Amino acid sequence: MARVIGIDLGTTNTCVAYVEDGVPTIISNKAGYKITPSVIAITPSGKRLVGHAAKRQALTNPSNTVFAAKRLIGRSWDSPSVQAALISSPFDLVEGPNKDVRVKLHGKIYSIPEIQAMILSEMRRIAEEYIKEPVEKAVVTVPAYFKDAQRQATKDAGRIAGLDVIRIVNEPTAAALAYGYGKSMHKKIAVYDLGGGTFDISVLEINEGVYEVLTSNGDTFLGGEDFDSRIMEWVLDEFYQEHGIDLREDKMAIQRLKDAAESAKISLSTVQETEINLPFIATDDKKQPLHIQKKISREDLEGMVEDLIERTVDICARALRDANMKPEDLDSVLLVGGQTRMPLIQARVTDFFQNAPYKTLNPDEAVSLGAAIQGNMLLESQEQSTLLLDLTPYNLGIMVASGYFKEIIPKDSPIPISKSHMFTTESDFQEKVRVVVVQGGAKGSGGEGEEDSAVLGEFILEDLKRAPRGETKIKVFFELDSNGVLKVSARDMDTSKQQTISLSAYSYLTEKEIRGMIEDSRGYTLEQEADERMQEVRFNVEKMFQSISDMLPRLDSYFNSSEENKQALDKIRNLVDRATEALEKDDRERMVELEEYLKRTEEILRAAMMS
Amino acid sequence: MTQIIEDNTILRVRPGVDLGNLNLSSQEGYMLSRIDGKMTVRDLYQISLLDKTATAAVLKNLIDQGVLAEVDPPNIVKLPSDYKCHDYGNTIFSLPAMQEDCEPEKAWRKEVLFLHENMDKLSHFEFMGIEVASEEAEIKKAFVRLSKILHPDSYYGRNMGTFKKKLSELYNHLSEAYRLLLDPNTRIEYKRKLSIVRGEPDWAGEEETPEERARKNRQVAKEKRLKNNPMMSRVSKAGEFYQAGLSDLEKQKWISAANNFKMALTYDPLNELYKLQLEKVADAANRVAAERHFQRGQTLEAYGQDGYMEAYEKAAQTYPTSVEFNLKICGLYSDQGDWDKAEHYAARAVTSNPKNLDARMTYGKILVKHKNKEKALQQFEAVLKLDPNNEQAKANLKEAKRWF
Repeated sequence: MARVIGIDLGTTNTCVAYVEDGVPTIISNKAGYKITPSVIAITPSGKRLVGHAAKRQALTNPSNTVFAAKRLIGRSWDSPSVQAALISSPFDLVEGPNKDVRVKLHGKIYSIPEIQAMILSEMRRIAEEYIKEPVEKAVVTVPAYFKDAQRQATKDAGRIAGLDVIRIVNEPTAAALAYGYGKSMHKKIAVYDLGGGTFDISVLEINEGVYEVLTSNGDTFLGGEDFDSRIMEWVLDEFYQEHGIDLREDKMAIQRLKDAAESAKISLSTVQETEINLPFIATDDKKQPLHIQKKISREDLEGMVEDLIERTVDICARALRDANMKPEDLDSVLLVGGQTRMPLIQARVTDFFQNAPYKTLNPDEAVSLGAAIQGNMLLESQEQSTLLLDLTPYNLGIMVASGYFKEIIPKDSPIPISKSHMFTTESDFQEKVRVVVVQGGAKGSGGEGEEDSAVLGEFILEDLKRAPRGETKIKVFFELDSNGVLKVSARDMDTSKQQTISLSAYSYLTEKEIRGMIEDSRGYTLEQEADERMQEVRFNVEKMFQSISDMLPRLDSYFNSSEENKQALDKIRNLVDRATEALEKDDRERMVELEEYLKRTEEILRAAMMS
Repeated sequence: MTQIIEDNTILRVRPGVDLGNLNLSSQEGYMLSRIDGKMTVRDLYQISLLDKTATAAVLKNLIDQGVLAEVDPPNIVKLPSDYKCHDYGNTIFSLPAMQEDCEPEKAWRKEVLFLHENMDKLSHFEFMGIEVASEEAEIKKAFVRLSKILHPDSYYGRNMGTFKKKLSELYNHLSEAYRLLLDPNTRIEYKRKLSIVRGEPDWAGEEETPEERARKNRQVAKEKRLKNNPMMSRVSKAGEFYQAGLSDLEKQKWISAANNFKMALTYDPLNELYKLQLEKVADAANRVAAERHFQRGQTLEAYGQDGYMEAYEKAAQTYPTSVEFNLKICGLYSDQGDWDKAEHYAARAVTSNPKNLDARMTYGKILVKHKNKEKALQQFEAVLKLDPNNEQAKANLKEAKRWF
């Protein structure tokens, strides 16, 4: 049976889960890690590294290591977040052909969905290794505030990785699913999700397997990484004051500091004080080495980030107000995202909701578990026992004459939903009409300078009947599916001429490009597999070569000096020589050939020596 | 045994049957040997060497003997066991839909077809299968119950044939109905409308929406407060005018705002806040009013009609601190030779803006005409002080000195 996995593709970390005999399980990779850093790198030899391997070499290869690609996915080149990333990112960003963002690594240009696809295919590989079956389908989570283009781009990333993304689920909703799975309950809960890059708050009602989102709100520019950068800024400023050197220009130093800031932040969740220790970070005018050695206490950190936490609490208050609720109406609060381990956040959340957060779920794992549950529910369950009823966090409509926005699907509408609206021509004998589909700003999507509304696409309905203005009727039809992805069509009611817009054209990658990327990625997967197989062969050859070489000197005493035995021994010696040569030259074909011979020889010799 | 086996039926050997001890005909034995696990009757026709009728007869026999058993199709979309169907009356269901090759069972199809057919005829309550008097909890329950049938996720990846489109329309309808009924305000309004349409006056009854109730409560409380305290009644009226004035301010209706603040002050004359607001807005209001008079004057003048003098004069009176308005009316009076009035407005123009050269020059010239030597000289000198190279002022000064 085709397996479906759930992937929480986070800004800093990614996690994969699947439902094994009705039990949602996190899949760890070979090294035993349950979460994989969302980091990819290209080595100077052109090798692709994903996860821990990529993160480990980030220091020595900062300009070819990509972090936090999720912040860039589905965004246009002009958007403020991309412009901000341009200044701070250690890797090179270039403008793509469709006003999108691309990354240049070792001279080769990659689109952001391709980068995300590398992480997704790594997750797929981890899952396949564990399940021991091919995995083709996946449910991928996104922040509730992701816009149409970002959702599309995430789906594209899945396709490039060879995964059929059967559903895009909002992260807080997925976490709630993991919380309520397999329990019979009627509860109202809040999900406070502070991930690496985004903040989401959702209020859900769980009622006998139906998960209904009552309201959601959030900020796409507020996350754990902002906490890290507060620490970095502090250290950089102190360093500048002390030595008069601004380290911001030094990519390598920034990378080291970034890692140190993150680990300091993490350890301050459990200890009261820690030290940021970075020896040989720079040299002064006299070529003397300079070091960073700074003590940082939990209070220091809390002082630096207090305003960030207050911002999240304000958004919570706004969400509750939208839903006409008070904190005491809620039965439980879920904390999702690694950043929520911070004691001050837990205290503020407890304080605001007057309810201690639910602690059994691991904040790093809940989302991917929920995604796996949703996938399992869609594909494998026979009973219609669980349902997710999500909302659209923004309003959708069209821009009509004189730039006025007509809302067709309002914010907080349940999805899936379809709605239509009748429009008419604005001038006499108008022959065509331009329909511009606009996604309105989500209330309180916040963020400094984030574009309030985005044009999702436009199309022209032509050959209208010649008629005085106002007589031609045009019906515009909006269809928002369960993924939060929109389809729009317009129909001239007189001639029944219809036109449908494919909004995916605006996800910054054309269909042709995606096809090409799928091919590339497939080629890469095979290559990688071959690579792993080769390592295994080499390992075996080495092992048997060693074992035979060990036995050789003792062989003479076991065999009598008959002609036959002499020949046999010569053959073995010859084989060992060939193996030495193959190993030295790293001759893959020869090694594959020899593997079998060596194995048989070793068995024979071993048997002979035993007898 | 005239009943025919349907092509879609899936057959398998009944578990526990001892094949060795059966007394079978050669045809039956042959058929049995062909059945491998679970197979549909259609597939058996394909592989059987017998013709179709003979195969059907043999299979039927085997079923009757209890050797073969029908298997429920593995993928069948069913209604939940506790689901209560609507009353279909004597609805006739469309045959193509009932016989269509897709996964839902018959009862399911009937329910969905009925709902789809009657979507617009049924009230939201009937559609959701609940009483008109239902409250939030029941409405939620009904929504959950129906969602499990109508939500597209409930049949993800299933073969639903033409039902798929019907379901998406039905789910859309359901979520709209649910939203409307969940909010007590819209629910009661809906009930009122429905009771008129259906001619059932009792449905909506005396029920008030929470919004109406809140509004009424506020009104009652306010009346009670006012009754107990006559002074408060005046104050509260003043407050109303003040609020109206504030909302005018937001819309930048200065005149109306000023009027409202004035009214507020008549009810509550000692209120400092009202005075302050009136002061703030008075200037803007006067300017707007004056501009209107001035424009009216311009229009009348342009069309050569009477009354423009009055309009200009009113503009200058309503907003005495405008150089432009004062100079305009001053010019008109000096044209007529009414030096007293011309002097009055020119003087005002100069006081409004002592640094305005035009105002001073005009004033000076009028003073010359009006035989007030000293003042006229003062004006020209003042102009020269502001602008030492003003040739016109020098000439005027010279001439004025010569005149007197």
